[in-house]
Amino acid sequence: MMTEQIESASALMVRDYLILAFLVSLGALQIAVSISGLRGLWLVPHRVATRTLGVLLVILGIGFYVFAPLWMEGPWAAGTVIDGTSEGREWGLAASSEISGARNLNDIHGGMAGTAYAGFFIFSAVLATLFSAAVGIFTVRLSATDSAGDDSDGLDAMKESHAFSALTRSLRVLWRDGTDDARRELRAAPRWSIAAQIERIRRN
Amino acid sequence: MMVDHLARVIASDYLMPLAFSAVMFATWFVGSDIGERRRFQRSTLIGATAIGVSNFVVDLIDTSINRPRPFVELGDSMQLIFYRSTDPSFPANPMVVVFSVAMAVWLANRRLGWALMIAASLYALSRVYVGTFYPTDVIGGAVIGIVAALCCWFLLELLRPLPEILLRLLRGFGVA
Repeated sequence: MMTEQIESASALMVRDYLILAFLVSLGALQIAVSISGLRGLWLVPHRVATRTLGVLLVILGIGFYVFAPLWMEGPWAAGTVIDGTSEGREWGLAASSEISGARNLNDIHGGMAGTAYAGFFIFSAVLATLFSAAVGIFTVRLSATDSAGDDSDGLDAMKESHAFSALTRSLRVLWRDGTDDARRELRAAPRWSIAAQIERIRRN
Repeated sequence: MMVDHLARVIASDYLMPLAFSAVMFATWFVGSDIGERRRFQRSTLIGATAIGVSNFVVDLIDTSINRPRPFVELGDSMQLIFYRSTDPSFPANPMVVVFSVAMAVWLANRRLGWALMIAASLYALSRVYVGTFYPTDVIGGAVIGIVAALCCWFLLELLRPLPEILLRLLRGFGVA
């Protein structure tokens, strides 16, 4: 019975954390791309609106995670956090006075381990980027800025075009200039770098 | 008590580490030109490498110094308002992570870096307040995190132009 409860608690924590991480990483991404003007990743075709949406998504994510125990049943701290334990709790709703401790669960009692937090965050961040890139196809079309003739590549290409157009352009530029760029970087390496030292030994 | 509630939220396993990860993720996309963006992206590389290196150091220390948590040693003389962690107390692993990120970002942008340093210090303070760490645990964690980030910065400088070539390659796939 106890093992089943821990497994259910763990599944609940993972699901809620994924929602939190997705909303926060999507919000942070929207704030960042609104600053750098990468229209290909905007969820709405306006800079200020994109930034505002980003802030709202972050607030929504944190708000959901902190306050969800008030209306969703779970293994919340339910007062046991007062004596420092996180086991043997009742399954139910949390009271508003317990909200601050509701999510503080040891990983052996159904909480998440540090590596799980990191793994799920990376997954959510990748998902948020792909989601923004997919929505960006429509926002770029709405703002009528798609300029396939431009020669910029990488994220810079997303200033005026959507992610998939930017990807093909970036690959084309990489194929054309990649080797030259790598050689240029090699020449620009400081003389104390390992690459420069090897080059000097090779010449001598 | 209001301070207790606030400390429990700040000290939680999810909020601050998530905020720091989100900042590190977002800085990858910040920058008005390639030069500025590359500076931020290098800091993300430094931060990610530093987290790995410092966690390895923490694992090594944990095997040799198995310091008990304060609530184990001090017992009833202190009130724990957090769950009973079961891993060693020194060094504070969460501090290692947040200070690695703060230092890496500081190398790219001083203002944002200082803001993260303050947030990381607040996190450290809350962890001591709720009773899961001694002050020396969080100081030790902070030092390891900062030193790891500086070592990784130096390593990336030494390995130049490999990081630049990696970023160039990622740019070719539209992600840098």
